[in-house]
Amino acid sequence: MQQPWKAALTAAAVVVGGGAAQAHDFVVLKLVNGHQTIDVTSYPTTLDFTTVALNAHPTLPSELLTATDPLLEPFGWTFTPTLPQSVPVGGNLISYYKYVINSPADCVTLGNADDDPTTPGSPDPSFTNTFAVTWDSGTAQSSVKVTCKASNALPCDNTLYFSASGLGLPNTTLNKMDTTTAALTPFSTASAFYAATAFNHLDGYVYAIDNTLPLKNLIKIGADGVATAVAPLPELGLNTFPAGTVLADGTYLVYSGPGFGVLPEYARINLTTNSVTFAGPTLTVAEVLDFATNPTDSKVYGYNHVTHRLTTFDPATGATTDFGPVGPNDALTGLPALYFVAPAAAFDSAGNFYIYGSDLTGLIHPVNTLYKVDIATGAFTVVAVGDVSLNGNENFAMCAFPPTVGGGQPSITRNEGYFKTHEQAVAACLAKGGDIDLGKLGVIGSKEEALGVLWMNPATTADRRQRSDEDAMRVKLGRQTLTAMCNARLFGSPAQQSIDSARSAMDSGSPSDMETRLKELRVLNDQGSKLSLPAAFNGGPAGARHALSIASSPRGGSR
Amino acid sequence: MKNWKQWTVAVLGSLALAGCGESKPPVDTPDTTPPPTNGGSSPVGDDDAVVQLADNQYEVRILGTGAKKFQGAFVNVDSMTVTANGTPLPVEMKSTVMDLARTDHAFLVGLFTLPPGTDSAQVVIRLDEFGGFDSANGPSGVAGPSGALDVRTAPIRFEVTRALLTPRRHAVVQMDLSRSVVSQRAGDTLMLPSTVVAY
Repeated sequence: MQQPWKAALTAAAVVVGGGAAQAHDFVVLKLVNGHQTIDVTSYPTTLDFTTVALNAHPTLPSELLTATDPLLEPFGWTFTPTLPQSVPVGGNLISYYKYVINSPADCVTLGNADDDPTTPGSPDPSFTNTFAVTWDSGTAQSSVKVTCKASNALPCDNTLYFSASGLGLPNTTLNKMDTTTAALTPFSTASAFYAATAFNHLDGYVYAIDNTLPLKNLIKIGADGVATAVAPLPELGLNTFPAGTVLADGTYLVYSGPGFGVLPEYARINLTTNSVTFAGPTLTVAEVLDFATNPTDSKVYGYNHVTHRLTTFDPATGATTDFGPVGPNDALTGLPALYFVAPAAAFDSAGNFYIYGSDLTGLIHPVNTLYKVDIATGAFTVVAVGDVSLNGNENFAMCAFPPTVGGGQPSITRNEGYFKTHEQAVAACLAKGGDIDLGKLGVIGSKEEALGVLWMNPATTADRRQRSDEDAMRVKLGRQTLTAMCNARLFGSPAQQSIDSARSAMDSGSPSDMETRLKELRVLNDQGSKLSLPAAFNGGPAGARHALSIASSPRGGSR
Repeated sequence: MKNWKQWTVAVLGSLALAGCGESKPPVDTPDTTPPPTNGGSSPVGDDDAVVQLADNQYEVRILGTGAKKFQGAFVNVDSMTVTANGTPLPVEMKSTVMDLARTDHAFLVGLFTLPPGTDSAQVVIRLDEFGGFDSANGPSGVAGPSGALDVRTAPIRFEVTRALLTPRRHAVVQMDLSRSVVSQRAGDTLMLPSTVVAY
């Protein structure tokens, strides 16, 4: 049987061998559960490690002399068969090993034992694991990274989830939609045709109704992106349910309007027990394709396609109440756009109402536009134009009810890598608080100078002179200090005391003090780095080459 | 003048030019990076272009391979240590920012000395915490994504022997980007070094 990794390795061998095939004879690959990096979210979990050494020589057999895995050898890892071993052209040697992770503490232990100084790290502990081989004229290595997460819950942040089903096949994909550009990043693909997608702020999972078959199922999606059918919902009958939201108390409300069944129906589902607490018909004839709960008044809002007005939906009675003007208006005629379709609706935690709907310009009106809707005036404001809806089965899901203060949610941050590749964010940071004095590294007054520090090489100066250990540490600490200051200025991340301590350590030049502060700032800068950016913040597009090309040395600093 | 700008532009420009007309394999390409425009404080002639190796001294370089999905993959080196039987050997760092998307040039990391009587050593290269990448244009000509490279992963570790080093006086780490650059469901793109060392 042709195995996927084998094809990948063969292709890699061709690439690696290009131009210098005679110089080496093996390429290696290490995988954990079939991937190079995985997140463990439940315990215990068995890790299946696969190590492969492939003879990459185009015409001759090669002899593998040694194969090592220093991290796992103390736990019984061995390479089979016994080496040395001759491997024919195109042949390979594979070894398998199982290891059980019983808790995140195991990742801490392995992270301390590996040879990666950045692990176990924070906020989630991880470890890297390297497989290496030697032969008579060379060596090769391949690594994997495993991260242990406390749970499979998604963070309650500003992520706007957008489920879409493309051509209508049972392969609905959950994406993350950028709230400034409407660009999509795929997150999870299911073998189901689901809708009524909603974020449950009480447990951190996205829920949806699987409408593939007459018998409905409750779908649950966590941080690992796996969509699981957790319970059948026979009470929902034969209707198709396009609209869904999670109420403030955690109740999942779903609605099936005219055209999605014999009669419009709605249901309330308890997401703790995964059971339907009420399901029945409603007298409303409002055609609502998605609705969302407003965190400021806990009411459920949607767009009624029958009246072309905004509407509220009463979860207790199933009644709808339209409000505001008919609209939005067509851009050409200025008249209400009676073709307007709004398959997706969401509130963020600040009470901003998002709708994905029809293009109001031109002569054709594909559903491709992200709007912000003012529920006080009914005004629709275009945010961005995104992908075109192909079958109307789209929904938004967003966490509208963040944990109260002290609930364990860290501040939003971005790490050094983000600022290295986001000039606009760096410029915004400087515009917000002015120059940044990094002592011996110089004073930063422009984004070019900030990038000069962020891209500074800790090993050598720009003219390739080796830095002392003290200077190398100062470069690393300076970069993290700059990052922490930008996190504080842009996202309100509380770090002033740590920044002051870091600055003082940079001036004193004590290596141990600098190292302590460096570790402290890394933790701070990493803590909220996977949370979505605030909706009001636009850090601009990422770019590496241009950022590097404009980097310049800060005033009064060494390089 | 303390301005990096001209220097980095020169580096990036030269990267595109270096290797043109070269008939030798990439591992033999000299680094034609010009000296930085820092007011003359650097040595005349770049130490990477004409590295005068002392007796028993060897180069370590890094070459990107499998990079067709990238317009740029920029990383720095944090450190290189070379030890023999647990004893550190002399190392002279020479690295500057490397573009591993360039597969026609092996970037100089540094030099190390293998004293007489010592015939093998363990080399450990740690890459700097974060780099950045720009994807190559897609089939439609639209630029692919760019972003940070999280290089806070495993170091590059390998054994060298005098016998292997002697013919060309260098070890070249070939970093296969097609398998080293790994995107994650959440968080930055990782660089997990997948390497082959040639001599």
